[in-house]
Amino acid sequence: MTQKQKQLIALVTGLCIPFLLVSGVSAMHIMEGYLAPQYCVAWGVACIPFLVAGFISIKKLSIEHRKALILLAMVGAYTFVISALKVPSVTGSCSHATGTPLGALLFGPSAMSIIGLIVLLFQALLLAHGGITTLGANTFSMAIAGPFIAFGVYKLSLLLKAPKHFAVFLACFLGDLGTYCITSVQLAMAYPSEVGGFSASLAKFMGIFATTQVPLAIIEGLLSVVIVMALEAHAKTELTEIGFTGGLAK
Amino acid sequence: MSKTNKNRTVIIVLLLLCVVIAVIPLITLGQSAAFGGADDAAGDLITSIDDNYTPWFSAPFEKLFAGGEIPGEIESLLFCLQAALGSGLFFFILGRLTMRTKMRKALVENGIDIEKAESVK
Repeated sequence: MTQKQKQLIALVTGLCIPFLLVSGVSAMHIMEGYLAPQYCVAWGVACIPFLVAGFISIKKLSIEHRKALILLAMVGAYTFVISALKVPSVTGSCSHATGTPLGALLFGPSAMSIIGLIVLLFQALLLAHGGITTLGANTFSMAIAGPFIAFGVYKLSLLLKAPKHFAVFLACFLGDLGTYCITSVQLAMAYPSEVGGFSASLAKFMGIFATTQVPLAIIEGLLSVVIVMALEAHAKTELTEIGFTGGLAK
Repeated sequence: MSKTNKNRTVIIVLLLLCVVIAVIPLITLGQSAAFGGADDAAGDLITSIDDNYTPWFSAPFEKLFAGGEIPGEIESLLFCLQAALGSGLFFFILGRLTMRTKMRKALVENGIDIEKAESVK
């Protein structure tokens, strides 16, 4: 990243912070119309710096590692498929995996903010899954928080000398679960319970989202390992190109 | 067992495991659960916390339909379409990649230096 791009991200972040303070920020995706306007705006603004960083990171990829773009397309398609598949879970309701952690491991977390945004926009516009007004909040949980958690867990696992495939599993498992914990936090902030306030609401939303998500997060982790194995067998060139070759890559 | 065969076994086992995890709730809870979306459950919870709450915005696309909701069949069509487009692209690329591995192997077996051939191009 060049100096200028770093400055741009810093500038955008700086511009966004006052916005968040003023607006008083005190899914499955969160449904359309279920988040009050000030939260919609606040979460949307919170996403902007990450999206700028993501745009720059994808642009850089398309210039420096053109060959690896095919993997980015693949990861995007994977996110598309996986977030359309609602799977039954132990709580008796259905949810879906996110698909974004895998891409974060390959291309870095900020690149996935753009990919995730595209998927969420499609779902909001055409499927009434999630929503335009809740796009910011959903982007933050699925396309930013999830990928960043996954990326952090992956690097940490490798530092602790965990086997690579196990690191991939753990990162994608926690990235997926993290997405829904963030969703719960977002909803609990918007709907603090009359008795018990934020924490009581959080416990309830966690009960719905996080519990439902546990088996799905395991599936997400397993599928990610399968895809990494397939890529290692057939896309070694591209993986080397983006520095995903095992051990402690950059 | 060669490395490729071992990998293949591991992949098949992992995929089967995914299917098992997805199917267990259906078998154990099949009679008692409705398997609605977790997001709908959250919507109900919101209404229980604040019983006056009404969603203040609905998707423009939904207004096209009677009752302001996409009919179930149309919704599943759209979800299918999303999954189909995604997996179509995913497996198209994977197919190209697996074929590439095969071709490279064939080239090497015939004594052609791939790196050299690619640098000429």
